Order: sequence, then C-alpha cells, then structure tokens
Amino acid sequence: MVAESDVITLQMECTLFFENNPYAIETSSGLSKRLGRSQQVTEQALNRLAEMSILEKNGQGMRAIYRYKAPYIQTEVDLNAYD
Amino acid sequence: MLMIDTHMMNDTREICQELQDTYAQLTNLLVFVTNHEGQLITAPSNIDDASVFDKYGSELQNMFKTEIDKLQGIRHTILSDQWVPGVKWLIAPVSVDQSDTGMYVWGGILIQQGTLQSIITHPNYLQPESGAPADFIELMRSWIQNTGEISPDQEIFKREKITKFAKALSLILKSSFKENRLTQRLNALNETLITDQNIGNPIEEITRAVLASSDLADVFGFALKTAPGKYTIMNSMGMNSGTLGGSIFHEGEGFLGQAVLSPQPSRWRDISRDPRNHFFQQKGLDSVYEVQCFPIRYENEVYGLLFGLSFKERSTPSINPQFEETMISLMGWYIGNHITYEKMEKQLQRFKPLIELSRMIISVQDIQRVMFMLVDMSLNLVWNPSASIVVHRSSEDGKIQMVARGMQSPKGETYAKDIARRYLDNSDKPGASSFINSSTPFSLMLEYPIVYADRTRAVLCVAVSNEQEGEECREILSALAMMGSVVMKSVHDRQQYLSNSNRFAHILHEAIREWNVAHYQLTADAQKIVQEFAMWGGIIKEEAEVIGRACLMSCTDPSMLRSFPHLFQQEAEMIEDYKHIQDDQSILGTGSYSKGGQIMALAFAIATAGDHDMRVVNDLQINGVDQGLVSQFRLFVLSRHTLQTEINLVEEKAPATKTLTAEGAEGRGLDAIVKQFGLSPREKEVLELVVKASSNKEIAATLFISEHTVKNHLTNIFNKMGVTDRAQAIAAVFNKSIG
Amino acid sequence: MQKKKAVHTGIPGLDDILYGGVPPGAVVILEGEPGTGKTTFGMQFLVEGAIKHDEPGIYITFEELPEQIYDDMTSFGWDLRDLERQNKLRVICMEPDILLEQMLQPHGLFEQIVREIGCKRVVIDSISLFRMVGDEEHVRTNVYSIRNIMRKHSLTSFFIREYSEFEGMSMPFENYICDGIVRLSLKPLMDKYRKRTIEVLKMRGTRILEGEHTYKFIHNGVYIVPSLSMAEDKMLIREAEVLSTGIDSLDDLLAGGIPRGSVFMIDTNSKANYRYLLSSIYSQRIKDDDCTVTMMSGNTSLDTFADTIELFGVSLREAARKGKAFFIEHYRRAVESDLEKAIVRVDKVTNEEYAQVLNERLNPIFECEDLCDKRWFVYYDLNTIISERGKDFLLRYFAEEMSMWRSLGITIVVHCNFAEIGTETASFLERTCNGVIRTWVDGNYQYLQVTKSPSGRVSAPHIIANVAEKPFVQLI
Repeated sequence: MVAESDVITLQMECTLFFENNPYAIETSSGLSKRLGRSQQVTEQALNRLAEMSILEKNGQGMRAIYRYKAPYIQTEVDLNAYD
Repeated sequence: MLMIDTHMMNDTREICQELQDTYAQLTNLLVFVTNHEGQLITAPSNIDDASVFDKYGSELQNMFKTEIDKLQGIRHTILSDQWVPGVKWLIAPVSVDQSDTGMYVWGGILIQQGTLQSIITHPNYLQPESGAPADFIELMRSWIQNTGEISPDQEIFKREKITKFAKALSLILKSSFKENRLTQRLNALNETLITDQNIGNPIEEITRAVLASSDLADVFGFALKTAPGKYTIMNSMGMNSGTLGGSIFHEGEGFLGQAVLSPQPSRWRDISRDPRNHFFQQKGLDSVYEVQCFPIRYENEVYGLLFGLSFKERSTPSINPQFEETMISLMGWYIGNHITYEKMEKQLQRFKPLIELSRMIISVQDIQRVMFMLVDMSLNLVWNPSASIVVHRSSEDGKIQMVARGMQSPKGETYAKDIARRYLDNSDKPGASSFINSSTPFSLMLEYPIVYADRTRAVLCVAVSNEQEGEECREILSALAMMGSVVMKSVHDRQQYLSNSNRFAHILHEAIREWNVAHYQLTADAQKIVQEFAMWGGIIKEEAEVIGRACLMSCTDPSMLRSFPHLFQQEAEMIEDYKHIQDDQSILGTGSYSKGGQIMALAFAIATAGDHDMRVVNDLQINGVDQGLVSQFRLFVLSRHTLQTEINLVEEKAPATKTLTAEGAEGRGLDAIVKQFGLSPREKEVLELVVKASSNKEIAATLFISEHTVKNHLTNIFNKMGVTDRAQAIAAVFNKSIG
Repeated sequence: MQKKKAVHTGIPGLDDILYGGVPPGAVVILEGEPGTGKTTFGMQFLVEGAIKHDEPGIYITFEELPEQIYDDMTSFGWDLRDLERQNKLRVICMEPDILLEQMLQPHGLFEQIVREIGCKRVVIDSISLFRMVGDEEHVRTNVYSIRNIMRKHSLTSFFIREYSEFEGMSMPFENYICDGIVRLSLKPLMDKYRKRTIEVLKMRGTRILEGEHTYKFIHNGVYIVPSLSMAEDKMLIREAEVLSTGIDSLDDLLAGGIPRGSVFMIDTNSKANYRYLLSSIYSQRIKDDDCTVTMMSGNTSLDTFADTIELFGVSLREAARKGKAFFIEHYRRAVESDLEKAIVRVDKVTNEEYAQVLNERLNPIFECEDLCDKRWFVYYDLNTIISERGKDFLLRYFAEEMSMWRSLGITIVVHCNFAEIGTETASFLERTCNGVIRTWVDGNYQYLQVTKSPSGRVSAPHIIANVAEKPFVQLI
C-alpha cells in the first residue's frame, strides 16, 4: 500500500516539474523515469493532478499523455475600473 | 421472557438434576421442572418408574401448559389443586433478576391434614375430570396411598424447600446464562474487530456492529459534531429508529445536547413527562423511558455521542449492563481517538511533502512563478481541491496581478478586486492572520495575507468545502503561505538590489558628462559593446549587466565604490583590474585578472578603435587578457561586420566558386593573411588549396601547374608568412578567421 | 516558372553546399556515427529557423532527456527555454509508439502542437528507434506514415539516423522514400587528428556541391567550410596566370579570365552596350594594381571614362597620378594639369611615326625600375585607329605591335566593330588574336559569345543582363 504522504509528495514534485517545464508533454512512464519514481505511484499522482485541472490528460492508462494547464493569469487588473 | 432454558449447558444440567434429586429426597416429593411450554427440562426425581413421563410426553406437556397458562405472572410458590381434587402440588416459578423465565418447579404431592378421607372418597377419585392420562392418575393414586397426610409444619417445610430449590436453580442458571451471553458477545465483537483490520471499515460500521448486538437499550444512535456547537445523528439502529438519522441537535439542547457537555456517561430515567422528551417524540419514538449517553471524545474535545434509548415496555433487562456500559464507553473513547487520528493523519500526510517542497522552491526567481506555485500547491494540500487564487501587487499604481484556478472569469476578477481592496489597500499595520470568508458567492474561502517589507503585498485564498475542513487545513495552508511570503520577499529584495544598482550606476555615469563628454561617450560605447557581446553569446546576460555597470562607472574611484556595502563590490574589483591591465601593458603582464576586468579592457579597446575595430582586433595584444577571450572577441567583432553582409546575401542564388572565398569568414581570414604578408594572387590560390588540406599533387592538378612550381610557391608563401610548414600556415589562416 | 524558395537551414556552409537550401517540405535523413553532432545539427536547424526565418520547429527525441539537451545547447548560446516561451520551439520526449499514435490521430497531440506554434520545421531524433516498434512490415508503414504526415503539414524535416548499423547492410528502405540524405563522418587527418566531414549524398530538387566538406563546432554551433577541389569545377588553366574581367559569369566562360600575355578581341556592335563590359575589365586591372595603357576613343573623353571607372570603385585619376595609367590620345582634348603627364599625344603624329613615338614614350616606362615587375595591360580601341589612321595601318601595325607587346608579357584587349571593318580585316584580326568575344543585339536582347579562347573553350551565346550594382552586367 502506498502511503498517502508519498503520493502527495509526488503530486507536488510533478507539479513543480510542470511549472519548470510548462511545455513538456509526458506519459506517466516517461515522467516516472525522469523523476526517478515508480510508474504506478506517478500515474496515481498525475491522475489526481488531472482531476484538479492542473494537468490536461489525453488518452487512458499507460498511454495517457499529460500537459500542464496554465492557470488563469491577469497581469493588469485595474482596481479602479468598474466591476 | 428470558429463555434461559435454551442456554442450559450439559454441566449445568447435571448439577441442576443433582440438586433436584437431593431436594426431592429431602422433601419426599416428586419433583420436576418444566419450561413455559410445559416441557420437562429435568428428569423427574424421587420416582421409581418414570416411564409414564416418556410414554405420555405430549399429553403431559399439554396438561402442564394449561396449568402454566393459568399461572402466568406468579411470583411466589403456590400450592394448587391439581388433577385429583384435594391433591395439592407446589409450583415455584424460577425467576432471574425479577425476570420471568417461564420455568417452574413442580413438587408433589401434598395431602393436607384431614383431607385424605375426602380425597379418596371423592366421586372423581378414580376418574378425575382433568384430562390427565390414566396412568398418571394411577401414579398419583399410588403416591396418595404411600404418602399420607402432612402436618402444617411439614407443609411449610416442604414449601420452603421447594422455594429454595427454585431459587438455587435460578442462581445457577443465571450465572451460566450470563457467561454464555458474554462469550457470545465477545466472539461477535472479536469477529467485527478482525474484519476491521483487513478491510478498514469506517468507524460507523464498527460502531454499528458493536451497538446492534448490545442489549443495553432498545434503540441506539451515533451522533457526530459537524459544526461548532452542532451535532448530527449519523446513524441509528433498533426498531423505529429510522427517523432519527440526520437529525440535528445543538450543544445544551435536550438530553443529547446536555450529554455532550459532560465528559462522563449520562443517564436519565423515567423521562416520559420530561419536556426534553419532545425531541424523541417528534421522531416517532413515543414511549422513551430511559436515555443513556456515552460521549465520543479525545482528551478535552468532544466529537459526538453514542446513545441508547429504552422503552417502558422493556421486557428483558440487560444481562450484563455493566459490561455493556463499559463496552460502549470504550467504544466512545476509541471513536474519539480514531477521529483525532484521522484529523492528524491528513495533516501528517501533507507535512512531509510540504517540507520537501520548501527545499525546492527556494530557488524560484520570479514573482509569477511563486504565484503559480502557491495556487498549484494549495490545491495539492487542501482536502477537497476546488479553487485557489493569488493576488499580488508589486507596484504603486492601481494594478494588481492575479493567478487563479477553478474560478470563472468575471467572478474571479471581482473577487480579486475585493481581496485587493480589503487587504492590499490598507495603509495601517498589516495583520498576518488568516481569515475564513463565508460571504463570497461561490465558496467558503480561507484567506491568507502575505506580508513582507512592512506591507501586505499579496493574498492567497483557497476554497474549502465546509467549516470543518477549513479549520483542519488552516495550519497546513498557513505554512504554505508563509513559505510563499519568504520566497517573494527574497525575489523582491533581489529586484530592489538590481534596480538600485542600475540606477546608481547611471547616476554616476551621467555625472561624468558634465566634465568629460568624450569619456561619457566612450564608457557608454564600452557598455554597449559588452551588451552586444552578451547577445552574441560570449557571456551571459547577468554577467554583462555587472560588467556593463562597471564600464559606466570606470572613471569612478573603485575604493569609493567599495565603501557602499553590498552594492558595487564586484564592479569595483573589475574596475581595479581593468586599471591594472592598462598599467600592465608596459611590462610583461604577469598578473591574473578577473574575467570582468579583462572584458572591460577588450571592450574599451574596441570602443576606442571606433571604425577601425577590425584592424585593432586583428592585431590585438593585451597583456593580462586570456588568449581564448581575445580570440572570442575577435570573432565577435568579425560577426558585427559579417552580420550585415550575411543578411544581404541570404537572398542570393548559388554563389560561384570565386565568391565563396570572398564571403565566408575563412575567406576573410585568407584575405587578411594575403594582405598582411603581401601574397600574390597566385600564391593566394595555392594557400587556399593548402588550407583545404590538398596535397601538393592535388594542388598541381587543380591549378594545372607542376608539382615543382607548387613547391616553389609554397616556399615563397612560408617565407612571407614566417612559418615553417603547412600546418602552421593553416593554423595562421584559421586563427585569422575562425579560431 | 517560379522556382520554390529554398528553406535556409541557417547552418553556415550548408546552404552554400545546397545552392540555397533545402527544398521546402523535404524530408532529409541526417545520419552519422555517434559523436558526429547530429543532435547539434538538428537543433541548429530549428534554432536558426526560429530566430532568423520565423519558422517555429519541433524537436522530437526518444532517448535523450530534454534537460540534457537544454544544457548542452546553452554552450552554443541557444536559450531553448526562451524559444519555448516565445512559442517558437517545442521539445517533445516520448515513447515512439505513443508518439506515432498521436501523430496518426486527426486532432491528436502532434497536430495540436503544430497548430499551436505554427510549426514549419521538425527534427526527429532518431528514426532508428522506430525499428523497435513492431516488425519489419510495420516499420515501413510507420516511416511512410511519418513522412506523409510531414508532407501533409508542409514541414521541412530532418530525420536523424544512426549510421553504424548499416555498414555492410543493404540500403535501408528509408533512403528511397526521403528527399535527401546528409552524412556526417569522422575521418582521420594527419596522423593524430580527426576531421569532421559532411557529405550531401542526395537532395531532390536542388543542385548540390558534391563530395566531403569539412565542418567544425564553433562557439555558436556547426560551421561548414565547403571544399573547392571538385572534379566538375577544376579550372582548365594553363600555367599562365589569368586576369579577371571583374564579371564572374564572364570569367567562368573564360575559365578564370584573360590569360596573361594574350590578345583578346571584343567585337562590339555599336548598338550593343559594351561600355560596362569594357569598363569592368579595365577597372579590374586597376584593382589588381596593374599598369595600363589605354587608347582613348573618340566618343569618350578621359573625364567620362574616369567617371565610369569610378562606379567600379577605383580611381583612374589616382592611377594616372601615380604614373600607372597612360592614355594614348588622338584628339586634342584638354585634361587636368596633373594628368597631363599620363597622356601620350599622337594627334599630330603620322602613321609612320606612330610606332616609333609610342615606343619612345612607353618603353622607358615599361622598363623603369618601379614598374618593371608590374603587369601591364593595354586596351585599344581599334575603331579609333581605323578611323584616324586607316585600315591598312591597322593591318600593318597591329600584328607587329601586338607581338612585341606580347613578348613583354603585356596583356592586350582590343575592341572593334567587325561589321564595320569588313570581313577580310575581321578574319585577319580573328586569326591574330588569341581569343575573341563577340557581342551583338538581336531583337530586344544583347548577346555575348566567346567564339575563340586560348583554353579551347568556346561558349554558347549568353544574354547580357544589366544588374544594379557593379559590375553592372551579368551573363545569363
């Protein structure tokens, strides 16, 4: 049984990875190799991130491909403008 | 009715039989015990031939049952006429703890003094009207003849003894029964606990298993705190209990509400007329007689309640009430622990990842990345991720930046502006505590102001699904917000430092303009060259910024610069080195100087040369500057020129072979050599082929001359260039061009 | 018909070898042993495309970790992450079978990315790994499919391939379906060293400079130095030097230029605009620091001539002042005072005296210390001679004088109008000269043809086209 704290740690590692490489396109096995973690746990973490809409998931199972979904950004919200 | 008889085990049976035999002897009566159905539980004692009992089993059973039915509810031993008029039997009920067991001790026969004659002479003596089997009646008649009358004292004696026997019986049976029941109960509990370990049943399942088999009350319930001061009944079992589920009560309200206030179990009896009973009556539980409550708690925190309701018509009291109470109390304690652990567990699970994260984010360089990190990680940490937003204000104007997930566009901005107004606009001392905002239109939000450099500069807001969750993950998110604030501060400081450096450098630079325009221009040119060098790829941007500043301030006394702590240390060193390099030119330079200083020397050399930079750079000899750096600079200056030409030539078609030599950098190298050493056109052609690694034979073939002529040319070439062989000649060409 | 514009690879030297670049939409196999720099080549192709030609690209790698690639490429000064931010580059690292699946799907990930960045270039590193996916049958289909996908999106692509596996094996089928093959090798050089060579084995749709060319890795990537010693381009030159005409296309026809010490005749038709032709030849002489003697023609004064020469970036006046240019003037035209010394005035000289006067004047100069080892070039306008002194004079004088000058190693270019001088004289001149260049006008075009040359090479007629910058003419 995988400890929940390990999955959460891996979730955070994957999140950081995609924040550093926003254009990366990865499968769970590819990413697990890059991070040096087990493929099964990586897949679990990636699926959770997809549920949170941090990642976009294309396809299913081991062939699924994950990409970073950038959050909504606004750099010039004018406080004085009308709502 | 307590069906004790069904629980009679073998050894109990034996002892009861033994006891019965002894008492039968003692009282000189025929003694046996029946259950409520009239069945014989023991073998009849004090009788020679018991076969009639076997033979007439069912008739006798009916007979006894009829009598028993008449006897419903007797509490004491009675003497009753049975079957043959005047003939009396002692019938003693066996009760356990005032509960009727349906068992009766039968002792007979008794003939009171002075009644024998009338019994024998009774017209029904030989043929009684009772439906008893003839043989049984015959049995009784033989007993009558053998026994005779008894005195009143004897009657009292026998009655006493039979009563005592019944009592003894009841004690034996009770103890055995309790033991059995306990064993059963424990077995059942064990089973439940074992399954818990394997599958991990949620608490509710275990509770249900424990309560359902308890006889402490008729109806059980399990309530948990769902909000401060508010409890919801999660589960209930027992008859008519269905309506209890989902009901809510508040602290202090009614029986249950008061029970949660106490750390000890509570009990209320005879509450039928208590107004607090209304709570149960509302749910269709009309005749609640007794309420027993067991708190679910951990140390001082009460999480909920296990409670049992008993109705007045309770026919059978609990066999082991102390055991049950202890059991349920423990249950309450166990659930309390479990809940505490679950709460802790969630936090513990996130603690280690958070520590890992802190190690990794310390190197983040820009604010936007920090904002991304806060939003993404907050979703990773919260129990039920849904939305998160960070709002940041970096400059003094009215603009803010926001990064958000899970919020639709117009709502997101509206909320962002709201946060900004509430936190970022305040000019008073910022508070750093988090705040639960329940008035947003979408979700419950936890808001964390991020404070550094004496102001609230950003806010992290995370959505939680209910107040409970908010309370629980507040600490973890607070840690995240704190980390974010530390990183943001470090980025902010770095930016401040950089912009200050640039500002000061420019001020110092402008000051030169007043008294030496030429120098002002020269230093500006040198800085520009350094920046171009960086763009070309000779150094990285960050280095170029520092060296560029050093160029601008090169006229300033380095020791003055050093006096500004932490500001211009690097630049001061570079300027010193540059000055040393300049001084070093007269003697054979032996010093080793910083890269920045060397680059400054090169940049100024180029800047001074102006349009003649190509010539200068080709002949460049600066002591103290690394050769590799000089070569790089040469290439860089070359590219400044080539760039223009290259862009023009990109559209041309295939260049003929001759122009190839003229265009490429190598060609330029060749041209430079030709010019430098005064090679003739023919010698140039030969050299060109040598550079392309052609052998003398190949050159001769290519140029249609003899090998001898080639050798002559080469000799001339080598002489002019001052080299001794091909390799050196090639090297010289490459050095002039590519390097 | 418009030729499609080549895709400039941006790798210095490669576009020269390909005479412009890779044909658009081509699939080029880039093969080589490990260490030859295939990855760098591929990446340079994409980086140059992204930065210089606004053509975004995708780098597909199956084995190398992107981190490694990012780091390696910074040493060349390429900031790949920055290019990604600008949506000019994507680096995809994925298992080959999953990528293939995505490529084959309509609206799959590959197509999405191509659209996202407006991709024009692709590098696949390496195609050899597709051999691992499925059996032989499938491999072919897969590679075909990928090639078709590249075509479909009009992508110019490099498929990197490991070379060593094919040594000794039969030609891999990919060679037949691709548009080009480029091979990188490491060859021994001078005992201890190795040189890197690149060879374009095949490239459909464009000329290639065949053979092996040397390349190096310099600070900002690969640099190829195209080699010149190629069989096709061997110049047929005799031992004599050649004098360039200043017009590349003409030099080509003349196998390099006018051989030193030869006499070349240019037949000019009055309608043909030979002014730039002759001026180019003359100015090239000045450029090459030769000494010149020019026969001025009646319709061009020294000033005009000097001005024309100025266009070619040299100063005739300067040469005259330095005593390196001389002019034979048949007409009484005034010149600037400091140029007077360069004029040999023969307006009052009779035919009989002519040769003598000229020699008296010029021989000392030929033999003077400063100028004796310089090359001498004489430019004669025969029309002027004929109009001033008559055909007979020409016939008598020409051969004699020419041969004397030739013995002194002087190169002579003369021009005249064959049509006007009559066939007999024309033939005589043709026989006497070593080379003849004819120009004429036909319809709307001017033509030029080398009808005789010392190398034996003659040419087909070429159109004389005017170009905007020097030498202002080009032969097509």
